[in-house]
Amino acid sequence: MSKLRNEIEYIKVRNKVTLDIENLMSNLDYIKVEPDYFESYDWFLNANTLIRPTSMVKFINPKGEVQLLRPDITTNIIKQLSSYWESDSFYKLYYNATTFRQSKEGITQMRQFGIEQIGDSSFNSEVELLQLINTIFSRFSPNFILSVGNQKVLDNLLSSFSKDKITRIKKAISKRDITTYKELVKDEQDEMLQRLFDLNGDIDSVISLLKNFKESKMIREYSKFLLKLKGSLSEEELSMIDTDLALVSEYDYYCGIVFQGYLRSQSKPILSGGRYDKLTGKFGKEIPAIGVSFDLTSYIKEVTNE
Amino acid sequence: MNNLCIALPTGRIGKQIIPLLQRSGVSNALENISRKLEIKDEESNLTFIFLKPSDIITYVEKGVADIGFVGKDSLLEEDKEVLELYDLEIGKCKFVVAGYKDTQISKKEEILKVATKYPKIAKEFFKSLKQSIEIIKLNGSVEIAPLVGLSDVIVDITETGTTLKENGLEVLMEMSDISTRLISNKVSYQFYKTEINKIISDLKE
Repeated sequence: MSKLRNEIEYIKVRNKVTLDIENLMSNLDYIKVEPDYFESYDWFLNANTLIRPTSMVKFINPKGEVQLLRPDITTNIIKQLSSYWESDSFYKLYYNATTFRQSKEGITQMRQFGIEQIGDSSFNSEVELLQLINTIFSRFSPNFILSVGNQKVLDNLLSSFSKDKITRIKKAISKRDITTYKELVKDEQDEMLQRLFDLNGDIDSVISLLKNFKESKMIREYSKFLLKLKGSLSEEELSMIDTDLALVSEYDYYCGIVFQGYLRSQSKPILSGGRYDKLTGKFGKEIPAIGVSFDLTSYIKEVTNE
Repeated sequence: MNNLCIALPTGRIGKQIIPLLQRSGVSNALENISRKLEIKDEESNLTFIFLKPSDIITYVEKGVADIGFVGKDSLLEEDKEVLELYDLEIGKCKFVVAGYKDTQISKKEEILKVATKYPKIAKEFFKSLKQSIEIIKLNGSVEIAPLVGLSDVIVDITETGTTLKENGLEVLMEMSDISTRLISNKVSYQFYKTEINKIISDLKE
């Protein structure tokens, strides 16, 4: 097939896939939003302390202020919404927008598709989002895995350490560097902390494992969370899930469920998300919020490879 | 199921890893390697590829290799997003600042000239000492740099200190310990967790 025909075929697939997903969102009463292109550098770094400043595309505006080409959409949307938020509001939003990152090769653009539920603190939001992820990604099964963790439980487990030590511990966890991790937590007695990397696998296995641990508040909380997940999802939805308490995000605003999704053919996670009530709090009022975003370009590439 | 692809380094470290993989029962297919760049072990569902150590991180990061063996020095210098799953505790050496005896590392307002193959590591180390430096990036024979006046000191890895001594240099400051690590990428680890953890537990025995 000629190059031009290949390109046209690709565009057709891209348009169809995008339309199908957007129709799915509209049918479930999600509203499409358009985020701003620019962010204040200082403000964004303050809201996202774990992101590397060197990976952000910076420029200086006419006022001499350092700004960014948006590296992330969620903070942008929350900032917009918080200015006219009313209590008891509930929004189901989605976006299809480009984000920008700096790498050695230059500026990388990524088409990001995101889904946000804002205003609902109940577990219903978690369940609906997980079901949506399953609907969108189940076509790739069994080559798609969704890793699910809990940032709140993990942060509570690490709460006795200094801020600086927590950063080092989380870096070791994100690299699955068990040797460094064990060295950093060696003086702690807590069993969950010591066996963090064992709390990884399908829901039933991890629930069974936790029953053998000495009872504690965190064990009860994490077990309750896993049981809630198990009770809310179908067999098919559960089959794509791998629970992992050692799941750490580069965003430090997550405060409950966190997830990352992986496609076998890709070298990086294609999807990430979680509950981020803490981020909304940085704008004045803490509003319950949960969302997920995925690399739409990689998703379409995977569809064309099918 | 696809074979798990393992990147092995050519050179000295590779020669240490291969007997380790054989002894621990990971693979029996590594007997007669000669100059082969790829070896398939169908019995164990493994494919081995032989790469320059500096390329292993790239292959693993891009998902072409599922796991690889590489020194912590390369990991610190490249700083890529890979998982560091296991310390094999072989290829042990240290990062050091070395130079002629009594060379001042802390030069206050003066700029210290540092020759090294590891500019990123050197910059971070001297930043923590609040010492301004000029980096002279070299690709080899770093020990000659102070001799010919190219630099005041060097940042390099040393195992026994013999090469430094032979060139009239001594360790002025120790920086960090280095050894060979097993690395992977997030996606490969998710899909090959069982196989990768089995290799790690075999290597541990």
